[in-house]
Amino acid sequence: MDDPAWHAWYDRHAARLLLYARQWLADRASAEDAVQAGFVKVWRGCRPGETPDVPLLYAAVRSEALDLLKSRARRRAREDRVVAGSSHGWWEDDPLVSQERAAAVQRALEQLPIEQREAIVLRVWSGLSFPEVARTLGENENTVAARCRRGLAALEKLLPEGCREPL
Amino acid sequence: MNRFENDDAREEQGAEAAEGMILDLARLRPAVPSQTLRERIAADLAAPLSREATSSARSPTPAPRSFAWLAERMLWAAGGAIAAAVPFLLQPRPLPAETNRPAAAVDQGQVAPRGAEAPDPSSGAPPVIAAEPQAIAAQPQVIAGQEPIAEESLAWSDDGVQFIDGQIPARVIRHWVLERFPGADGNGLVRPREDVFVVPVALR
Repeated sequence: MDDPAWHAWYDRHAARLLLYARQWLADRASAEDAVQAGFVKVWRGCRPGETPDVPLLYAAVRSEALDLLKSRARRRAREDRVVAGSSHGWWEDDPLVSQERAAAVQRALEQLPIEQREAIVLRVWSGLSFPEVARTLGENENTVAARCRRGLAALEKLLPEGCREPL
Repeated sequence: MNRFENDDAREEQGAEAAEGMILDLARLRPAVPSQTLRERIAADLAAPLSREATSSARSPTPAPRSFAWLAERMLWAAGGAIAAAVPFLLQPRPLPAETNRPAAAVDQGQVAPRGAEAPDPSSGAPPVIAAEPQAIAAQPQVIAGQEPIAEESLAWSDDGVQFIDGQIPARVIRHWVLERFPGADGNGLVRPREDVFVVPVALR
């Protein structure tokens, strides 16, 4: 079953899904495992010619990431706490964007509570609307909007002085 | 401008600032996954639906579950169930109260007469049983010599080895019975009875 449709979906969502999974899973390989499992599960649930529901796709990856986190927490609790200094950052290298600021944004995000962080990641980098973010998280739309707003305000304060200007 | 208008204006400013920050942050592009992820997803989607586990870069994919896999586990489960049942099967079953009468006592004719009096178990000294127990006086409602029409076994008790007249060791077993007699006025009467079985034993 090599449906070319999933390739287009993969190209569009894989990086975003990976970033989302990395909010729970520190290392890239584990995050990729979660993306793989969630993507395959959702895609298999689609009827022929149908495309997956985007919030459902993110919710599936979230569920897989949490499952992996739980199973791995039994073995190695420390692994998920440290992302800073990881050999693979969250962002694509871009000559137009200051690497210092990209790293600062990642570090600031890591300091936010997970509820705020996942709302921000879904809204900013996954490009989901607030109703879609709410469906992904199974929360009220106003709740996720408030979390996002509070998270962004906190993020701005957490960024170092030199990194607060627009990218 | 009242307080509510102030709040609204502040909220609008906050929302605008948040939207500006979202646009700014969105310029950071998430890192793309490794090339192998696409291959792994393609392999999973190409695999049969029954396959539960996905391939992984970290851990090898477990082999699909086969009949042998299931049979092996069923065998282990059956073994475990048998092992758990063995103690219950080996445990001696308690006989029903009606059949718990010690056969030796009956065969040896050592059954004490009905109404044999039991010694006081609360006394510190070993209980001494009279060789010829006295009969308990019959209830006034029951005609002397009348046989009960029914008996209901209530309980058995093993009092262990005791000394008859302080000399002869014997094992004492008690049996409590509820006797039913036909009443003179047509109503049935009931009377408790205690049977004491004294079985001589030899102490070595």
